[in-house]
Amino acid sequence: MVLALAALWFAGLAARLCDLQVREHDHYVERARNQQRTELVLTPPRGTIYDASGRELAMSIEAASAYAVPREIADPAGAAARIAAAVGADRAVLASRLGRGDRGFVWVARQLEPAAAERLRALELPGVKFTTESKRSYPLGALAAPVLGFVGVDPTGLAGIEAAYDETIAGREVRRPVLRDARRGSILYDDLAQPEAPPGADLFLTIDSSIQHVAERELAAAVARHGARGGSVVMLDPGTGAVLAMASSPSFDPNAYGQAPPADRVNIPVQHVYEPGSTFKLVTAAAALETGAVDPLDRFDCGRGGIVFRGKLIRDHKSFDDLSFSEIIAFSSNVGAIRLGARVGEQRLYETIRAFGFGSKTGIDLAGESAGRVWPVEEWHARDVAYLSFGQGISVTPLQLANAFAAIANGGTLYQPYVVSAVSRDGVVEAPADRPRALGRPISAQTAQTLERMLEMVVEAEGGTGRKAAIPGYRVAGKTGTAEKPENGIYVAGKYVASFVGFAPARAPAVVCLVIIDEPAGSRFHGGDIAAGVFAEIVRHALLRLGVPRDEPPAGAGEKPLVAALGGARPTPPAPGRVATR
Amino acid sequence: MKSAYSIHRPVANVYLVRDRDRRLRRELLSVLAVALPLSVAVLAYVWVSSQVWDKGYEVLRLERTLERSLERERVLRVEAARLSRYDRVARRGHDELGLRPLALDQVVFAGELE
Repeated sequence: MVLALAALWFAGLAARLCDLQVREHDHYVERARNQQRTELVLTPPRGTIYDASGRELAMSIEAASAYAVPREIADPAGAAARIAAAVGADRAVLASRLGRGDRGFVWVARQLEPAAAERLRALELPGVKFTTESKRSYPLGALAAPVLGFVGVDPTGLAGIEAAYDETIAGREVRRPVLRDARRGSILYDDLAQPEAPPGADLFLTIDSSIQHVAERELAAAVARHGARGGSVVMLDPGTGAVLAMASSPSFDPNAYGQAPPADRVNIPVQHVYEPGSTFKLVTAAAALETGAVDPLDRFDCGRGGIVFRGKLIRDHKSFDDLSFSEIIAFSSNVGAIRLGARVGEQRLYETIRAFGFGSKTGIDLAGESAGRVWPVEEWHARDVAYLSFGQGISVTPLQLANAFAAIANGGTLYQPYVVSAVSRDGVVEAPADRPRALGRPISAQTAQTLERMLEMVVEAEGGTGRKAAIPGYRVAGKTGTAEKPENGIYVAGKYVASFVGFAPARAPAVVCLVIIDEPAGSRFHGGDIAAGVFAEIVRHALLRLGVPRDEPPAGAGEKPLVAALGGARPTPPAPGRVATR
Repeated sequence: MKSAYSIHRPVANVYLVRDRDRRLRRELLSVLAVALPLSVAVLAYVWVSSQVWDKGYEVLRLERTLERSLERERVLRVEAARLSRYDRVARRGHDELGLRPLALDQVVFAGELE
């Protein structure tokens, strides 16, 4: 009897073992695997953005974020008051969130500053916990903010370089299999041969933060001094199309981009369009020279301040009798420009405008570029050729205009502007293959040289409109612009865009710079009065920074140098190849 | 208390010798031959497993230390960059050291010396 019972018991045990080990084998293996193994999501930090000399402009750091489990909080209102005082959050919003007892998770405050996180931790509130998130930090504050753009909480690039190069600098998220121990908290890698999460690539910009700082400082000062609505600055290297500085006013702090109105976050040189006014006369002049419609020695009757063109009187800003080609540019005569445009003709003027890149995006590596507006020649009205000759009836971006002047400065080649000079991934630096990239050749070297001489007269000739752009020791070439602003199809009295665009040194240009002051208040609104001086100050600093020798060194140069010579100090991106990057 | 084992008796046959039980020895060796490799294998498995876990924890600890160090370095770089902001340096240079912006005529470029 006992033997039979024992046999039965063993038989049952064996049957159960067979059931567990054979029939349900896969099920229990799966359960064990689920208990012991999990996946760890590794999110690498975004790459760092450096300026041309290696200064950090944008970096990712870890920041503490606080969340709460509402059902663990006994007094939501009291907790909300204490949290609000610690981190500066809205008390009512917090109380509403913490009061939702049905929720197991609510955010309290994300990406806190270290001091605020410490204050919140010190409260030791039950139900309030912490985690870490990657936070984008812009250590130089508002410097080049519209160019850099900003990153959302996700973190995804939402504007500027952060958006344009999002895939490059974001890195790739990696899921690694890991083992969990009995405490379910500690983990170790299941397979050490798994690849690490590749960090985002670092970017090296062409922008020099020192020049950028001066451009922003001088622009902000000019906007404040003249009570203007805003302004912008673009500086390019005419030999390559590299952007050395790009400033907008108003601007914003990307560390707190949510507090800035959307209008302040616009990268004006790339995204805004405006009527260029007299600065556009150079395109008319280029068309006149390039097509052979006008000889540089020709003189023109400037009608004593007005011209009747196809039945309509168009006035000049000043009365001129008889002007040479160069004087039309130097004194910025509208009537003279109309005479030039009329000789060129609609079709050839349109072709030259398009050849300089107006009406098309330049293709700069920034998000949200505008193409401007150039009407097809078939849709031009009878007097459009006259208006276009002195820069009205066309919309361009500041970048397009600066780039067109860069083509004049470098002898006739139109380059594609760019802001990223090199990409560094895992210590290997690569320069984008197509830079510098020539887009075309709108004018010949001969035409470019003739235009350069004319532009020098604007700054140097007695009565030239751009004399305030002069920089001691350097030859400067440039053009002033004072354009009326159109609103709802008509030009508004008292609203102007003052500008100056030029390059220096004139005979061997190192920089091209455009300064725009939007809607200056008061009686001084001409580009030569308020933009040329800003140009001189910014370009003076840039030439100093880049170590560009003067055309006319001061007497006794080298006898008592007060500062070490800066020749060759031009910031350059790291050379392609393997280098140690931080 | 006396027992059969505690009684001292003289050995009658001086030629009597202890004879080894060869069968028992063979059986013992057989058991050892089976059990010892098994035990070694089990011990080796346990040792290797514990080493894997220990090294796993060690790797994890080192990785976390590395991450903390790199993060600390990043924070310090951000702070260094923040402290070297142009407006801050210019303000302190002006207010505390009395420095003024460099004028062009205070500089001689290398190309101008020739």
